Amino acid sequence: MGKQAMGNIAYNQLRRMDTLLYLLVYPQKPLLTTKTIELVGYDKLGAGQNATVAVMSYSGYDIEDAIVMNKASLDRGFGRSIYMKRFNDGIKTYDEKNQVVIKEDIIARPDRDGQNFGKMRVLDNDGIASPGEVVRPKDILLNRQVPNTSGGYKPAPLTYKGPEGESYVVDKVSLYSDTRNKLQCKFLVRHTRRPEVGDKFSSRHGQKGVCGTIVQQEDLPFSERSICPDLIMNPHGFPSRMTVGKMIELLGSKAGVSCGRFHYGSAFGEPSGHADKVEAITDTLVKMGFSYDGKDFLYSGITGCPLQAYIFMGPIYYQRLKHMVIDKMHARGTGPRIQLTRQPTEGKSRNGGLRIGEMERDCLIGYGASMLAYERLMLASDPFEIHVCRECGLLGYYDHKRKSGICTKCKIGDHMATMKLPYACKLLIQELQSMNIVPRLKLANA
Amino acid sequence: MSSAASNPRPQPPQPKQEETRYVCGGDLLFVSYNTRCCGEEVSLRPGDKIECSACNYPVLFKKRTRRIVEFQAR
Ligand SMILES: [Zn+2]
Ligand SMILES: [Zn+2]
Repeated sequence: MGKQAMGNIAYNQLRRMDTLLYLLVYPQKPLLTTKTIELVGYDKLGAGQNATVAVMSYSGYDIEDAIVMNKASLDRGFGRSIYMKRFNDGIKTYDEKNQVVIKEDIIARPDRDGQNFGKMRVLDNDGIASPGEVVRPKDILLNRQVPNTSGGYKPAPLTYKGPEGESYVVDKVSLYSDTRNKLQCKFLVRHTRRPEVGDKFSSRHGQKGVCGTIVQQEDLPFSERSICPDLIMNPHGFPSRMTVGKMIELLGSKAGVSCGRFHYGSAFGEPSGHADKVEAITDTLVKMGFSYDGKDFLYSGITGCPLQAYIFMGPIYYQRLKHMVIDKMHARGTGPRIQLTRQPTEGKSRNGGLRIGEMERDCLIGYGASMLAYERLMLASDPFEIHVCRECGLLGYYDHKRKSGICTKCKIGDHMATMKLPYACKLLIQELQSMNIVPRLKLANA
Repeated sequence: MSSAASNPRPQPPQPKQEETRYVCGGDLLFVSYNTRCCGEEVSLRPGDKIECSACNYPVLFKKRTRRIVEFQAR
């Protein structure tokens, strides 16, 4: 429904080759709709599932809008989704002398005896991965080779990149010619995902939250009719958000599912309208043997004793949003650095580090944790040893023949000292020098 | 750009490869229950034009792997 919700995107969704596609395995029609939703056909492409929600606190893993999920529901397919990603590559040509093609890439047959065969596992004889194969990170999808200057070819394969330890499958491979009549390939890689802790969910009232914990069904509360929630939502989400509609949706859906008729949840119950008013819903609930207010008598799944309060429980249409932890989770020990500053790279795609920003630095300074600040901002980032002349304060260098430092300006190495500073600082000093500003380092004790 | 197609193409040195079979994608990309999908199997050698031999559709799909694949159901 919303832009971020997973569901059906089109009737031809499984034949398409989108760069990124999020699908829900078993979408449902909402139990409570409006006339407008029906008129515009919004419910023709499902974007969520009707989850039985219990509005109560459970386990403390439900703070800050987090939701508690039922493991048995997940096993049955609640929130299960399909993630598809496309990889493109093909033959490139290298033009020289007015558009005459001199050199072009080749798609090479996999080298079955080479030491790289492990990565070429999924390739066919044509050098293209075939559908149905399970791929692991660094597996080669297209065995492309680029020509080098000496007339030979050097490998430049298209590799699959993704999380370690997950089974992604090549779903579809299409071949076509580009405008120069050169072979191009598209690979669609598929992954089936069941909800895990940290995945994001939302009802249609903007009540979004992440999955805080997944609980065995045995430990969840149950009603006298053995109804067990798929999802537990903390009632603290209601007062400040004032999403009365969500409560009415719960009532309407509960009446709808028990009497066997889809209900309308339109806002105004004017006589000329078609909305199911709360009063009428209340009557239906009573007729179906529920309490008029939608609250159920629940037993604790842990102790088996009745809960002290009646619990507001019923179905609410829940959407799975496309923000999933598996795409965002990232950590790094050591890794790549930026050439210019020698500091760690930024961002998950470049295997980057996690930045200690200005405000975090302020905290360290404010607390007086100088060694921690030193370690984070220099030792763990870009430490660099420089040779400083104590006489003129300029940077020198280490002469390997004389085995001592030398000042570039004084031409002697008598007053040299070594010190550590961030490489970015050394860079700043030199960039200032290039602008005719001379920063001098005065060393207190060396 | 258009003249690039008619240029003589140098033959890169590569080992002789056997033909691989592909499936035509004609009509497969569109939802149509009453029009017949082409589905013609096409054999191609490296360097051949990517095209269906029956309907000239310019997109081909690779056939599913013939190796045994094990999936883990979770
Ligand atoms: Zn000096
Ligand atoms: Zn065809």
